[in-house]
Amino acid sequence: MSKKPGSGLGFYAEMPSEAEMPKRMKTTLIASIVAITWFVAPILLHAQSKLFIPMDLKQTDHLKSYGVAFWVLEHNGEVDWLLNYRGGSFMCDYSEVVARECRIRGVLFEPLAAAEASLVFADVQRDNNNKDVVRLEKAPRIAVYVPPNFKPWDDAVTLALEYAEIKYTKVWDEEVLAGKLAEYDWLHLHHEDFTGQYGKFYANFRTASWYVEQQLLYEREAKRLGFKKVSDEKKAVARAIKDFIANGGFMFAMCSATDSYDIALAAENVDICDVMFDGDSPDPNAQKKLDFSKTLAFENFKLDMNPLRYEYSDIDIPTSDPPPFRDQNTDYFTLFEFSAKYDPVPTMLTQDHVSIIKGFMGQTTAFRKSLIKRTVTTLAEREGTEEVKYIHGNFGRGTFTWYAGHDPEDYQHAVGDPPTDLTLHKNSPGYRLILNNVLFPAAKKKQQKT
Amino acid sequence: MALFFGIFPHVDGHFTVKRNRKYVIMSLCFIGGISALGQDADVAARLRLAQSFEQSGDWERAVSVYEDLHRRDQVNYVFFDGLRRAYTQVKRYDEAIGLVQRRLNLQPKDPLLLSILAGLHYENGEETKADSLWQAVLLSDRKNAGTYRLVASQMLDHRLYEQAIQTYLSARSSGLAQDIFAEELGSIYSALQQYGSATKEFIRILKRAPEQLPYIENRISSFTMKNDGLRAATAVVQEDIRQNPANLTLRSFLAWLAIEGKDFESAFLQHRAIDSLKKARGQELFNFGQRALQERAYGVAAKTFRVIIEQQAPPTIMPQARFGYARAIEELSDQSDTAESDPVPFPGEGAQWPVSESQPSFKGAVALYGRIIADYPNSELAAQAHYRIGLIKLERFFDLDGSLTAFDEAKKVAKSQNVQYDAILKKAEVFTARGNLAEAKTEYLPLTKAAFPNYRDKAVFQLAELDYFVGAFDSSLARLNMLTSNVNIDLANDALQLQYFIQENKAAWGKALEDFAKADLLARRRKFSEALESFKGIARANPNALLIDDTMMKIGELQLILRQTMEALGTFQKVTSEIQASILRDRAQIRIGEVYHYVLKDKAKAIEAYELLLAKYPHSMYVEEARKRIRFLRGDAI
Repeated sequence: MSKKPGSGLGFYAEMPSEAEMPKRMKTTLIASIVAITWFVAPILLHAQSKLFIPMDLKQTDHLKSYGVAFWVLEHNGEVDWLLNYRGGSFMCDYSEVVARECRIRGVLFEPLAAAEASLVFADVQRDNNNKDVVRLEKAPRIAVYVPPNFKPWDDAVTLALEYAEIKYTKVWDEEVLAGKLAEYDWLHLHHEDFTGQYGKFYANFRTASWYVEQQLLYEREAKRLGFKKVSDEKKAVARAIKDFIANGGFMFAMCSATDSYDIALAAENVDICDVMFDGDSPDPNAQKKLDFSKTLAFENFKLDMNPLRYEYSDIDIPTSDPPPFRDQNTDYFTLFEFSAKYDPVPTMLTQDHVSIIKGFMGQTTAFRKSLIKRTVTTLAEREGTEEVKYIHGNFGRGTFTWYAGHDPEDYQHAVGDPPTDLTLHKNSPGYRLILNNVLFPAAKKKQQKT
Repeated sequence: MALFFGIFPHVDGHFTVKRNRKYVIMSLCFIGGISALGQDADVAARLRLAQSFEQSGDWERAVSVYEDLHRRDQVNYVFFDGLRRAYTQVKRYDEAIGLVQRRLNLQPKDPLLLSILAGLHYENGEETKADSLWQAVLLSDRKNAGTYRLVASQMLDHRLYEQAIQTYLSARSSGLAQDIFAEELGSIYSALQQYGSATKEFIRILKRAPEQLPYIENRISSFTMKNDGLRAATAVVQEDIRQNPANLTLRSFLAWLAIEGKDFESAFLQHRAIDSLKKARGQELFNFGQRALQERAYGVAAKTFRVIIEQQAPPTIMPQARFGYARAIEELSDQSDTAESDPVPFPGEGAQWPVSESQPSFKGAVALYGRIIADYPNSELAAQAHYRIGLIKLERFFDLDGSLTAFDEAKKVAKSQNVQYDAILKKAEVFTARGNLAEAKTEYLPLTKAAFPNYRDKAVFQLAELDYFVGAFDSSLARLNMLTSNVNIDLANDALQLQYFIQENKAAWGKALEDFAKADLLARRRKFSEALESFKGIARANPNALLIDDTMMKIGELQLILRQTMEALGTFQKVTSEIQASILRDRAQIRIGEVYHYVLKDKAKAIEAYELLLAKYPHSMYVEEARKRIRFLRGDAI
């Protein structure tokens, strides 16, 4: 079935495919096309044909723009993602319904006549510039891995999805272990700890009621699911997520869900948790027993097994314990530029209206360059340092994209701080990077140029 | 030995054997002492080394040093315990178990050692053995609370919460006090989210020590902030009160839980019961009534104060109770006043011309204030009562004479400057409403020297408005300038708006501005029909004036007040479609939406009007509000 703007159910009605059409109908259709081409097209050239959502500095709400693109896909529409064209703009068939939705959500758009749209396409597809168009066809199914209980920190991933009004389903260990991830395209994770050390908050928060409750909740959940220890359960979850990626899933993780995930994979057969986390002492030879062949992104890292330190390993740079003293006004990271025509996925992931972005800290602030596997692509780094902010890689048939730091609009988000109000950061370049990780599975695969 | 004897050479061969032996023994003691001291120093150094390995997490090396130390001195507890810790850390549980078992030969029935041994068996995967050992420890001294504490704490160390709970509970069934370990159990139950059981434990503490109520409230607040926690705790306390209806602490606890859940009605019932049980004659209820008033639970506050008044409360609280009752009744009248939302005030503005449809209720409040004045003349409470009467008469009844008398009395009786200043401001407002601007000015002028800046600024702004009403624009601008130079004050925006309006129109449209100000004064005096006609006249006479859009907006607002809804819609539409240069077109458009939304209750038309605002005025300051309303009207889950 192909889609045509303007009539029928919703704003995109469906018409029969070529194979379904009787021969006479086909003839009529061809005749109509000829007639339109010769007589009607010149008139239509001046009508609004496309709805263009610019994503450069003119855009009033970059984050909700992703939501509008997602909404169009949800309503069986198609969206063209114009890579590197005015900040990675979107374009879809013009419909008053979409236009109204843009207005209601505060998203700036420009109605384009067919001729104007053709010029845009022509510009984007020219061989001698680094632009391209990717057609998005289907709304991706998104799962967000979050515990069912209240967390005293906030999660930039769910904040971004909520603000952009992109639908997602919450999943937790039981669903992951039951193989439910197969029902989704994306798995988003944020401030999680796959090592079973409860975020290594022990030194500062062991008596806080949320910490105690969290530990008990996790322990009960682990027992219910047949594991003696939370760390064993989390490792099983990490393996299930790895299987999800291997089978074509897309994983996006931020903050501590990145390094703690790889550590859990490397420590599959070794106890790295101290007594206060799992009731027994860690393996004294844990470091030697790590298996880096099992990780996705990092290798040769050194664990920080001191339970009183708020740090998992030396992947995180600068170290979180003690927290680094930095001037946030001089802390920036730079997005890499990729070839839109040859490397569409990294290009999609780095679409932004600026290429230098405000830095932000987290339990995992950045990844140490020397510990990143060679197969992994760096998408952004703090120039002239060992600090890599944003990485992407393939595993099996799927991909993983990891973004270090906790909240792109809160330089040093602390436990108990109020959540970031994204209505005050509608144009956040840092948050845009999260939302780039929503749309690309919707992209229609096209043959790579050789 | 040669050397030994060498140092005591025979000098002359006359030393006797006995004498020689004495020297030998003395020498042996001396050398032995030196040797022992050397050994002690070595042991101490090795112990420090083991401890430093332990601290740095180098457990393997700590094991080997502790093993050495333990070999040298198997009785030393420090060496034994260090080796046990080190074995446990490196997960050499079998060796740790053997070590503890050997130690038990020295201290066969030591409950701590036995309990530790049980823990090691548990870690070694021998759960049954561990459990039977713990049980044996408990059975060995069933009357000793310390034994239960010891075993339960070992269990908690191994995160065996259910077993720890059972251990604590078994102390009670062994004849120890029924409230023993209530605190420990309460904590574990709360952490396990078994809120009902946790509450039962905390109640045990309260029954033993009622003075602990604030502490228990604090403890329990960690889960009463959750609905299920609050529900569970409330159910448990209610059940306990059914069995102990005279327990004041429990009733206070239940009242606190009710207030936590904003259930003021239930809280009232508890406080009334407490008041009666304590024979407090309203004192207990009075505090609750004040709290309810603060929390805007006016119905419950009114009920509470009425009970206090009816039961002849002592004179220390009676006047305040009566005033509280009158305030609650006044607020309840305000809530039931249907005039409040029709027509809607403009976003960000209060109702400019409140008109009451609930005069009888307000009369009740006025009567109550009147009796307070009669019974407590010349008191501060009487001054406040006069002031409240003045407000009701002015804002609800538009009884200018009545309100003026009341504000006058308030000013006379009040000892507090705040009440005096408030009364003066209101008096001046009444004079303005009467059209007596000179009197109003006389009232405002002294306030411009008031000690409190908020009163001072307000008086200056009102004086600027008075000047504007009479066409004294230069004087008005001079006063406004005093306010606009400090943008931090509350009235700066209002002042800037008026300043801009005067400046924009004064030069080219002076006459029209004068007429506009006069019509504005009529509206302020609530002469709405006359004001409407005046504004219409200005619009007819000055179709090209800069202030034509302001005039049209005034016409529309007055038509709304006079319930000429369709005419108002037409006026606002004219502003949007015919006055292309107006900066008020977006404001007119959102008013159209509001009229459909709130007055005509036409959802579809309201959405359409708000959408038109988004489409035509995308940079308007009202777009966020319009978006919110569209989403609300179409039922979006945002």
